[in-house]
Amino acid sequence: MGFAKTMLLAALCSAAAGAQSIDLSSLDKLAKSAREANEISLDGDNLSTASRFLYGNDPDIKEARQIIEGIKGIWVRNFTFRGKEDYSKNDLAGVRKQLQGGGWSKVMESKSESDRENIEVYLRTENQKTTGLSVISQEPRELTVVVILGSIDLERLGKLSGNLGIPNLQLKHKKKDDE
Amino acid sequence: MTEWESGEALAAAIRGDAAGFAHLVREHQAMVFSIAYHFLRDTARAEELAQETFLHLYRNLETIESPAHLLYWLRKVISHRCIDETRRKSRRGATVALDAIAEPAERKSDRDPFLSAALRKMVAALPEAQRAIVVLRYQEDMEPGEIAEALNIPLNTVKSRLHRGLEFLRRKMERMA
Amino acid sequence: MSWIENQLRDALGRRQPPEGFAERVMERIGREGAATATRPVVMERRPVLHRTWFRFAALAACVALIVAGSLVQLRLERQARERARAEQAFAALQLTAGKLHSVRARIVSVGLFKKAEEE
Repeated sequence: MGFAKTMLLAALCSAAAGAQSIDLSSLDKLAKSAREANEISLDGDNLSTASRFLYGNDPDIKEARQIIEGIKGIWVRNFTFRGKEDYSKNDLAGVRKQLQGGGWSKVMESKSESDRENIEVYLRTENQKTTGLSVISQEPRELTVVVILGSIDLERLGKLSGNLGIPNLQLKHKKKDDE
Repeated sequence: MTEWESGEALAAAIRGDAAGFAHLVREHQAMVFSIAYHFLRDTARAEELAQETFLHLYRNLETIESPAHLLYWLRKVISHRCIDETRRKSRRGATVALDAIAEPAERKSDRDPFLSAALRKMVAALPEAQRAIVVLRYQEDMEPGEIAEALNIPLNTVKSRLHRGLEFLRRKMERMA
Repeated sequence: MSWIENQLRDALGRRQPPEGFAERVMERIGREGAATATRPVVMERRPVLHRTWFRFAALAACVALIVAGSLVQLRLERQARERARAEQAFAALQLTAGKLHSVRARIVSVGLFKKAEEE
């Protein structure tokens, strides 16, 4: 079964959608205890010009340009902690609560014992179209939350090769000395 | 050509000195290229990823804090790019015939060159996660803790994958013998 | 250190990339990297001539150069910011795709992994 179809089928029974974005500001306090905190917040004009400045013949870049043209906003919060469990489930309660209504539904959850990573995937659908995607990835020392709003082409997203999650290149960045 | 002391080339590069940056490239090119080559067994692709890594370094020089941090940064970035590249290739169905790859010039060694070549091919056949760990451990002499940090995975995961990788290679070598 | 580990150390030794690698990197930076790197623009001072009208003209020319240079600098900085945003958007999509692939791969890999262990 194709990538997009898998995701959409899982989300078909979601409730009628509302026009909600997800507020991630409740996570900002984690930056104080994190060794490294990265943030991406792109919407409106900031995002609309982004596709023009992605150039090159790399297949991933071509797919990404098409994806970006359909979406309204991308928000990422990524924290790397020095110690294990320097954040708790309660820190995510506010975000999870927002992902329980307004057309959002959890479509996938996967726990890996070997990597000790838990990934949750949420979709928001309106009239059988995907209008929101959220991923929460929890590892002992790293927390990543992604929210994407707009007309999301899941098929194209599935074609991206993906990476191991090094947020890079001139992000709002805080890094503490390890010593 | 200007001779740079340790740390001076990095400081010069951060200031915008092209000669300083070129020195950094020459200093670390063997390490970066070798990680990619042993991972991918493709000279052209390994050079491409190595070039991209240094290009990425150029754009992020201000984030490098010291020569030690630079070493850690380069190893981390090239390893991640190799793993991402392998996933990209497997999803697109691209395959490389390992036997058909011509190897770059080898350094002289007292050990059996055929055995070394066979072992390199076996390493390239490991699952990507084990492969990265084996290359970083035995090419770069990195400790499991350093590898865990570079690949952003738990220490126990590094140890178990290293153990499985070595077991696989040992069995293959024994069958060969 | 076991026998296999010694063999691996020897087999996985560092090797130099093909000849001219560093030059190719610097050429590529010249083509692709310079536009995104933020490096300070250094304006050179020019000596001012003694004759009043020369001095005035030279001063006006300097002002024009500084204004033009500033406008170019502003434009380069704006382009650099927009390029940075594009790269952030790309990084976010790659990150998301990576996590989604991990989830899907785990579902598929459970059966395959058990089979590999049995072999």
